[in-house]
Amino acid sequence: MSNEKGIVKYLKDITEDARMVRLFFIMVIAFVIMCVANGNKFFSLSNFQSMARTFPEVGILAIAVSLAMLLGGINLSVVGIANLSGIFCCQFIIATQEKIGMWPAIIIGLAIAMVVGAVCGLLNGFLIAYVGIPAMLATLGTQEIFIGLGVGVTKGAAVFGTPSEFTFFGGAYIFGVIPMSLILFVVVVVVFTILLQRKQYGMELYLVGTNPTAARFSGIKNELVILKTHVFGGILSAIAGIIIASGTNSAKASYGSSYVLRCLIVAILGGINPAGGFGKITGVVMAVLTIQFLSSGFGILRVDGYFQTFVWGAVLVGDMILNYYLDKLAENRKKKKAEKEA
Amino acid sequence: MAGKTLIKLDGISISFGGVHALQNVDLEILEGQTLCLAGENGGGKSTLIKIISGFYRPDHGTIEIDGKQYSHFTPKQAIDLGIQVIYQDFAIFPNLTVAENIALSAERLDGRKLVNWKNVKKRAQEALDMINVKMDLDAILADLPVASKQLVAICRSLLQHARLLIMDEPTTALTKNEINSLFKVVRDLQAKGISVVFVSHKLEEVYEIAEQLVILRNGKKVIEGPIKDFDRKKFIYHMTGREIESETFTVKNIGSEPLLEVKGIGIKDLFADISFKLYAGEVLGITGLLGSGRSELARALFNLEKIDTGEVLLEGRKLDLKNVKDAINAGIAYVPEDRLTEGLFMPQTISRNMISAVIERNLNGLGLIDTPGVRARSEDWVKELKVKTPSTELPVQALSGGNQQKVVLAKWLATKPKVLILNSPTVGIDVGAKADIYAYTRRLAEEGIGVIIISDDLPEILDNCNRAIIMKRGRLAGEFITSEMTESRLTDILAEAGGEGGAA
Amino acid sequence: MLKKAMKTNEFFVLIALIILCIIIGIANPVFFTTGNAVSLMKNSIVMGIMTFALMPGIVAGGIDVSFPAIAVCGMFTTSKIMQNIDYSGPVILPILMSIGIGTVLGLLNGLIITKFSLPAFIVTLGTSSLYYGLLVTLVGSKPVNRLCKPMEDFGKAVMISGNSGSVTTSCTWTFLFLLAVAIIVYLMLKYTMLGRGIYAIGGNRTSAERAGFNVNGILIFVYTFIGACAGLAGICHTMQARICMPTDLMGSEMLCIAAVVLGGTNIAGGKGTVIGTTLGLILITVARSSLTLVGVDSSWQQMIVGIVIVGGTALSAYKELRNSRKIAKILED
Repeated sequence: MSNEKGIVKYLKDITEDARMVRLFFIMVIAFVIMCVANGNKFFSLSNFQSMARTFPEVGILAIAVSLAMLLGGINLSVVGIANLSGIFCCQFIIATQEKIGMWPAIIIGLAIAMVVGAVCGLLNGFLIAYVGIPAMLATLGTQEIFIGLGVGVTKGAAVFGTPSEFTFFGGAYIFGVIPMSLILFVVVVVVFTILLQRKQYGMELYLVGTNPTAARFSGIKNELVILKTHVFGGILSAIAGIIIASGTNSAKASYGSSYVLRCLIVAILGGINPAGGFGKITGVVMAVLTIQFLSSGFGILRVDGYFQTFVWGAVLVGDMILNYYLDKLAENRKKKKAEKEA
Repeated sequence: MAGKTLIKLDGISISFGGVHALQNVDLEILEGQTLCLAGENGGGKSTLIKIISGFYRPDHGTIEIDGKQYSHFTPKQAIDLGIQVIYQDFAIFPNLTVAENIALSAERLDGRKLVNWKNVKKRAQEALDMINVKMDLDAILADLPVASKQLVAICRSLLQHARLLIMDEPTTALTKNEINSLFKVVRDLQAKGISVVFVSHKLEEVYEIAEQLVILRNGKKVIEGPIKDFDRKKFIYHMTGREIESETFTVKNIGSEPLLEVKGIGIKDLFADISFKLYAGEVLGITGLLGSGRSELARALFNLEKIDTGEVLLEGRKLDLKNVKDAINAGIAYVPEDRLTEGLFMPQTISRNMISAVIERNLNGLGLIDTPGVRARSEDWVKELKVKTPSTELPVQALSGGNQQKVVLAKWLATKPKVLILNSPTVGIDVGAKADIYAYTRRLAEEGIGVIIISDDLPEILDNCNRAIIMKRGRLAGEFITSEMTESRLTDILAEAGGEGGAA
Repeated sequence: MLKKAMKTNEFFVLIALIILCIIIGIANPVFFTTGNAVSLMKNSIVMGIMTFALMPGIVAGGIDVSFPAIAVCGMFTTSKIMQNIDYSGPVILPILMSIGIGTVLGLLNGLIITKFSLPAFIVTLGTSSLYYGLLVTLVGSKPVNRLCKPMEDFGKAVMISGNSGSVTTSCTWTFLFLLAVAIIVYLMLKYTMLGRGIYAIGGNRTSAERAGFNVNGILIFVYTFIGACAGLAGICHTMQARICMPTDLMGSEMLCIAAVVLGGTNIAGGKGTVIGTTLGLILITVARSSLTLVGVDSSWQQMIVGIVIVGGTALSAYKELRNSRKIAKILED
């Protein structure tokens, strides 16, 4: 009934948030600059398609990291989980496709990937919530385990030999235009926006992230919220892992080592507060698009990869410093306004 | 006894997020003077202390020390100028030893770059001797009871060549004997020409120790004068800004069966053998010094801590609670002591805070949060409790202390409790909000809720409860009908070796 | 006295270490040869210098993950310049140069973290990428295959050697740098006001400010010190390896953090000792170096090291969790 009103209110909420407005302009500016710098090479259907195919990997992983950050923690093991899920998925498909048929093998393989992701997330959540290891340390450690396990089972080599049909999930274009990975990304965004903004879990997540003591005093089971969040993070990582494996039609333990930093940049640029409790998926979406525009533009301009590493670091630190000054400015303005009233 | 001016504040104003904490306050402290700074919580005492100690930078006004003018200074400068503060939270280092906590700052102040451990211990012992307390110098602070921490904080400031010692409610955890030792120390300091600012709202203490009285209310200095010019009535009038008609609470219709029955409950090392009954319609007080186990008892009733022995009956049925949610669902609500850390999600909206204890009761048919419903109910609570806010979608931190406390109250009333436990419900809130909260608890009791108020604010207990129990060192130490008790008698009972001494 | 010692964290790490050594020794007696001991010494140097530098940072409540990048910046820039000018003076100059580069980068970390009150972990993750990207962009990514003579000579010089069977292993003089850093950190933490300030900040930052400690100054020092030691560790690594690869050391942050935490340092700050960190360092070095000795396939080593790290961290975190639930006693017996 109030669906339309709901959407209007949601749009209003977004625009009311100063940081979101700022982010929107940053995104538009990044887009315009890259259009001007690269001309038709950037502003073309083929480039849009290639961008739309690429960014969902990082986008989904960044959402996984954002969930952990909303709790005031972090998740540094998302890439490890993604690769491990991809490896198990591919190995299963290769091993069984002849016996049980290709499509059943692919479908069971996908399910295995999701289970692997969930189990990895469960381990993270358990270590953080019940053992009490700080999230950063726990996930930095499990990242070693997940990558190590991947290296162990593959002897460090890439897993090849999945059927070409497997590329559907990361490489196919629906109606010949829209990449499948983009559709998966949109689904993830919609599901998690609802989960975060409208479900009991989401509100508990924000509350635990804001003040765990008050959450405990309010009868919220903090441990369970943490556990759930990391299981979701694991499943999201597995989905990203499937897109990666499907896109390259292979899986490798060492794939995407720079993604961890990229995810953090996206989350922080997207307005997720590292101290917990604040941030929206909408922001993450805008941030991942911004980063993708820059990254594609750099690619077309043939900017050196190491220079890009430098730029990403600078963006992360620069954004935090910028926010420091803008917040300070806002605080001063508030003070002046209060003084005027007095 | 007082000499020339030590420190002079001129026209100090400061505001936080649009709220004026201090407005145009002047203050002069003479050398060797003992000045009492009084005022309701939230009146601006703490802010003023933080400005004098260099922690806040005033928006307007100047501070003059030794004839030199400052617009502000850093905490380090303040210490170098001889300003020492004993904070309410003691500002100790929980991970370090007693000796280090006491002597390290003094050693640092002497300009030492290296630590001489023998010297640290020697000086710490000297400081402890000054106030006649025995303590293990190698004990880690985190392992000690509250009273010992307070004593450590006092010892530390004694060592630091203070010219002005500010004590922010230093007696909250001390026994009568310890308070007497402390007052002796204060008088000794005074004799040496050291000025003392004593922050307190306990009248007896103020009369015993202070010469000059300054009262702050709502961020303004309302009156100043020699202590002898103030009688009790005048003191209270200026503190609260109105004549207090202390109409004490009387039970209207009490239930015949106990609503809550606590039978011999205990938690190892915390409290033991606690039994009492609470009838519907009653307001029961629980009082005791800081560290007497009163808060721990409340937390146990709310299932935040597991009890080891005894049982709790609600409406005659034994409670078997596994977690806080069970306690909420059984009809117990707990308004915690510290609303900033335990009660509220400060940066989150008022409506979110109000439903935070019962999110699952605010879902629509699709299992989604019923946003319009939440907003409507929050607005009802805002009206019901007279919360002063333009919108329920503002963050709670934008509200004043009193209105914040009303939000906490609303959050717990939204759980529809049968038993409402309020721990220190009026700490740090203004008079108006205080009166609103008292009136509301009375109404709740009349409606048949059993209310428990835990507090060390004795007038609060005496005026608002019909019955009260006293806790000392984790045990029940008496029960009384409030109408048969006076404040001074109760003070004596509590202070008689009531807290944890210096023994560690 | 003994009873008190048995309650400490160091005691548990020591017991774990002894048990681990006995198991490895039984599986492969080569473990108990002088050759293996020297090899362990050698393997602990670079990681050890960084670990001891990191410990005060963690005690103060901040984590730096940029030190591997700083180490690479220090060693690679220095090696490249020294090679280009065909340096032949005393070896101390390149060492000081690398330390100097590390100091500057560490100082920058400290300034950003304190000036803008930002979380150390995220800032250093960013600067790690920033420093490394800038280094390779400006200096290039081609390894320095031949070091200048003084550095190469220093890397060849043998301080101590040992035999395991017919194989002789030797350890370079860089080991003395490790000892020096450990001793400096020990003295600093125990006997200087600065060191006690580090504990004070880790225990309660607000109290430290109120007590008049220059909190930001101390924190800037801590991150600068980490940077300086990272520079030293980097140049030691290069001299030991006698080749300078810009890809080396990257990714070693987890091992160092793990050694500090395994040694009983509280990740939330306030607690930690040099003795404990030493034991943690030995534990990690032994676990890493001995996997081949006990016949673990190399492709599984990363995972096993990961399990050891997570397991060890879990034990100390769990102990801390239980400690934090311990409450001050009210009731008398």
